[in-house]
Amino acid sequence: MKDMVLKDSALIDVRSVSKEYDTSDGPVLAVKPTSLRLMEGEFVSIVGPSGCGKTTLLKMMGGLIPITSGEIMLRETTVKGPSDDIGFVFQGSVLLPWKSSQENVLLPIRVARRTTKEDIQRARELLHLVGLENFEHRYPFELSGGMQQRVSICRALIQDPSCLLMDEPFGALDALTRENMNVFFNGLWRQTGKTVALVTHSIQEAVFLSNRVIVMSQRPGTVLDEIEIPFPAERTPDLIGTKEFGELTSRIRKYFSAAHLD
Amino acid sequence: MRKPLSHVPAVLFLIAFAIFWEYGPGYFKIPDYILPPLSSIVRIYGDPSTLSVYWTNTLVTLHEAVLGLVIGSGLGFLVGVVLTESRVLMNMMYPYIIALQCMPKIAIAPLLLVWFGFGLTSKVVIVSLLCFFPVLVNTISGIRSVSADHYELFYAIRASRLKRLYHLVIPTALPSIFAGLEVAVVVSLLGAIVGEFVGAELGLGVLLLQAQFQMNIPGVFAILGILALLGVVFNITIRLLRRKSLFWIAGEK
Repeated sequence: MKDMVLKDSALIDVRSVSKEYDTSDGPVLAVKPTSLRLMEGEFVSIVGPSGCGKTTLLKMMGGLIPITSGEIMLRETTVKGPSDDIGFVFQGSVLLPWKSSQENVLLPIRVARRTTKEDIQRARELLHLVGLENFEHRYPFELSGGMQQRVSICRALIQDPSCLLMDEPFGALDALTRENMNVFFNGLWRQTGKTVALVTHSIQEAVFLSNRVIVMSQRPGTVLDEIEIPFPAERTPDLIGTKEFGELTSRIRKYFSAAHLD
Repeated sequence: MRKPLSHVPAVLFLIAFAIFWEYGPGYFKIPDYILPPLSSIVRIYGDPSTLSVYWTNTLVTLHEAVLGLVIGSGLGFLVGVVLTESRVLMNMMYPYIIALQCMPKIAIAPLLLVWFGFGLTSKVVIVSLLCFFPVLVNTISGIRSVSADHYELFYAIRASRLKRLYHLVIPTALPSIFAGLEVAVVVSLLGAIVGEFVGAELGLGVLLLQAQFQMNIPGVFAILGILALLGVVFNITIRLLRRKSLFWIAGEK
């Protein structure tokens, strides 16, 4: 297993990007001009109070919604829409119930072209990687919530993107499954070496998984602070009990209690 | 799963009903031309020459109903897909579709007879018209039930409109489309029979009128029996088709 070497180049560079929504009461600012960078191979979590625009920010990074001002760069190109180089993992697993795990994983390829033997092989490898080697031909209704989300992660990985953008991927899971998924996902990240941006409500999840946690303010959201998480790449559940882990989570939590007061 | 003995009450009821039908008319002194005993109706099914007449006419009615069902439902589905894909067309056409749907369409059967004659065409048009609307309306509501999350997924994977229709929109709408088809199947027989009432040379509707004119009431019941059987066969076919296509929905297994 290779250790994470964070390269010094930004994979995604968000340059003073803002987002304004038109509503019946006039325009509403969802995201104040915000800048942040995702370095190659890095795992960054974005935390913030509900409705602070963190999901909006993530979707703008993925090219899923247009930006109001500023610029987002993916390597040297401006992000103008979705790209094969970015895999998006949605809040629910958003699988198609009439397709088997394997067919769901292959969907991004199916809509672009005919699938080849190599594609199918790759889909099987991915499902194997997430521990679903005997579930290729099972349908979503035969899988647990955690399994479904793992299938959807495979779907995001099938085009071998450089970057995974994940919007509360484990939010719908029960606490125990969620903890297991965190450990599992740390392993997956180390094996695949992808750059990951994770939006989450859970401070513990953010600290457990990330190299860096970005704290966002209340609506209209912008970056309040960036906290380096100095733990080694491999994370185990024992980490959660340590003093350093507790200090980091309480440091982040303070932002929310302060935000709560005003 | 059905419990092993759950059919028993229904069968018992059928037996009781048959006995009552057989002996009730005699007991209550109801004349044959009002309600003939069951045996006189069953006897008709044993007569080969009558049966062959029934068979020919059943095929005619079946032909009208199935052809109209396929054309009407097919068009309803296609128009539903096209309308939901185009906001402009939807805004232009939807008010009129609703207005037409509220109209008792069977009322234009006499007009269709003038336009398309006494033969197959007029019946197929009537049946198509009747089947069109339930499938159309259910296709539209099914397509509208596609979640915003799924649309976003298909945007993220840069699927074309056609691929999105094929992989997402139509499968999502399928349960609703089947609900429409179940209605269409019922009205297809209805349309064929009423069309034949209004004017035709062949068909179960024609036989029904003839039997009525001749005061052949057992004959009327015998034909009604065939129609009931057709209705059941139609319904079972659609339900089997539904179960096969919607395997992923709980309760369809």
